[in-house]
Amino acid sequence: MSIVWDGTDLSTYGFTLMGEGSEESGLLSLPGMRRQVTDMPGRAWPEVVDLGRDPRDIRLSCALIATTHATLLSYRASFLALVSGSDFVALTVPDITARRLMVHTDGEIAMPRPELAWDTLYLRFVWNLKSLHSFWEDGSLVAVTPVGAEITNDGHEPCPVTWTCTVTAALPTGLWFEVGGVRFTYSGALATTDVLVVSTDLPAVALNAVADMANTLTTAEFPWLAVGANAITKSSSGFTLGADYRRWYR
Amino acid sequence: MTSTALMPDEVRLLDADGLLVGIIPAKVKRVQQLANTDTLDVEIAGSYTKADGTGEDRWPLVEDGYQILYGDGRYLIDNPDTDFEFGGTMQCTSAEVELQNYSSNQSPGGATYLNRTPTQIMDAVLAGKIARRVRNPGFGVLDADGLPTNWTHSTGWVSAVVANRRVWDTGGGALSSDSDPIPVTRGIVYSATVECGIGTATLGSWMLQLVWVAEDGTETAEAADTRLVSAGPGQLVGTQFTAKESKVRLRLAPSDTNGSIWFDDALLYEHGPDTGWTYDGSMDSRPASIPYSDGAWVTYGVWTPSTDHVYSTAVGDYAAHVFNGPFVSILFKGGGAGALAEVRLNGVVKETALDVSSDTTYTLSGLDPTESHVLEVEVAAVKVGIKSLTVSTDNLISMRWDFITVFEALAAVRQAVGGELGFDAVNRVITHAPTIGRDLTASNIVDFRRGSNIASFRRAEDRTQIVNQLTGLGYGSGEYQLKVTVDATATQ
Repeated sequence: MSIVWDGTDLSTYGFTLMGEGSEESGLLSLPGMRRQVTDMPGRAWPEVVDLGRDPRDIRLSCALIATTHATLLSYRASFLALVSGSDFVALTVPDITARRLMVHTDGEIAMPRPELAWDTLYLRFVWNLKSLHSFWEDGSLVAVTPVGAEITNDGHEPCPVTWTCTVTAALPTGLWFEVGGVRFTYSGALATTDVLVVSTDLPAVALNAVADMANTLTTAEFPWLAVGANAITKSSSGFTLGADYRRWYR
Repeated sequence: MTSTALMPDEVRLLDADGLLVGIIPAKVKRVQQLANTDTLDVEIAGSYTKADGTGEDRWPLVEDGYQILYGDGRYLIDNPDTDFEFGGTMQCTSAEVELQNYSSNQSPGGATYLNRTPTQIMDAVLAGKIARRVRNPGFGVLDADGLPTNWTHSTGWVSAVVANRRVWDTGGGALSSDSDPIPVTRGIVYSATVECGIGTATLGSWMLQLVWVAEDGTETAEAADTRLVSAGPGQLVGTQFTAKESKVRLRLAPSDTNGSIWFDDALLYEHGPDTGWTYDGSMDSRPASIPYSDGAWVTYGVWTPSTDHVYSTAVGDYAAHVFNGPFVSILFKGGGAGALAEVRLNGVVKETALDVSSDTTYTLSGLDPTESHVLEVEVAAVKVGIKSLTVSTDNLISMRWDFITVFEALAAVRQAVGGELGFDAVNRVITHAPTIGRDLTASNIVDFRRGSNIASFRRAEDRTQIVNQLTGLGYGSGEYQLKVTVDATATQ
């Protein structure tokens, strides 16, 4: 079983999952819902507000295995250097094909001291990971260019999109596009070959790779893809619309 | 029982010019105050992790003078409290407080709005048009010759009554009429307006001119503004000019007319910055009828209420009422044979023995709408009964301010007419509701009860004062008072 961490196959370091029942959790489970519960005098039950789904807490029972003790020490050093960063990176596992989870190492990795046993050829340890959010997502970006009359999101959750507007004819009053009734509007003048990139995850607008929020309407919305069919309309045939996204799965 | 809340929320950051700078996810606590300005506490993260795992810091977007959009409101950022590691909070105040940055005056001397509708006053104040006092602006105060005081009398000009209003008629002449000199301040921008009407003329135009008067009496006239007779009656709005001297005359003149035209309601404005706000209110009309039971009647003697009127039978008893508008009609209840009334307006006897033996309506018109008037009705013989007065439905009010903020000026108008003001800070529109608040319990909409449906009820009563313009008033009084204004720079 091969696990890939930020593009690196961990079997390179003799890494393997031990996968023994309760020692492993989080990869396929459904994370719990974070809720605020408020007791309300005069009500028979508390008021409950859903705040969102928790990130995944993943616990893996693992081992590094080598053919020589020296190689094991080398594996250990390389492995720890690889996974000790604080950034979220893509994790893929063979059982869940074509999907990834954004994770980082959570807490310490407690390994035994192999130096004491000069003939030790493996190290067993527990590896805790924390995911960025609770959803598995497409391993590769889904790129749709140009977008037609609709895009179907067959994931399990609405997902953010990077929209790319490539101008093919001058648009002196800007442009808008609408996804499922949610409209983004840019009111600045656009020239042929201009490229307007609209990021909807953390909302941002860039014109020809330079940030340009000032010409974005203050009421502009940044449409995600809802689950199912998303009708697309746009203000003009003077630009093409492209979409890059990763579907989210529970 | 279970609902989904969007948390964290987002705020939209605008620069001082109202352009979008960025969108920032945030935790927002909004404090709505019934009789004060809403406030927000906005909590922003130090860095946001995007779906691709990278991070972005949005605190650097926040600058002095910036504002945010949240919900249906616009707010000014008062106190950003930044922790560059973990984020921070911003205290924000609903943006109508920006009206505190504008003044009711640009120069010393009262900003004077005499008998104008609230909307006219609100529009002027919000547009930075500050009314200056013009003597006898409505031409309703006449001298012994029956001509308006405080205006030069050129040959042919006559005082006339048109549709219940006293106007200054050219009489077909070709000369001009000037106002008395009005104190102004050098460097301040002024303009004038005047209402124009047509007598017998079919050609030509009306002319309005600002004439600066130097200390030695030398006069410098600005280019005249004209309105063609063919355009019909209406308002002539003059061009804005910067004062060159310390006094100005308003000059009214016909130009190439073939008959009479007339002027009314001459106004002088000084101009400050436009607030960008507009008013959409409903305070401009009032009931036309003032009943005998109105509390503002002042009586001398014994006046006895009856079913639909009040009366007195003692000669010399009188009842008085102050009103404004261009006319008043007195509805008398018939007093029987021989009943006579004396009518006085502003102390001047208009009728000494008006026959009020039967139900009678007596009208005084051509009154100056820019002035308030005192009407007195006295028993001259037998019995006088008063049912009501009829006045114009224009809800005319008068306001005068000396260096208050526009925010305070709006509050003063509201105080004069009642009701409450609503501020749409996003669209910069002020609305007026005739009543204060809404009785939700009477409408059976909501009833808050402690221990029943309230877990916590908290009210914050703190508002940050924003001051970026300081005005110092010095020696002197009225138009001659010394004044210095210091503006903040780089912030709104």
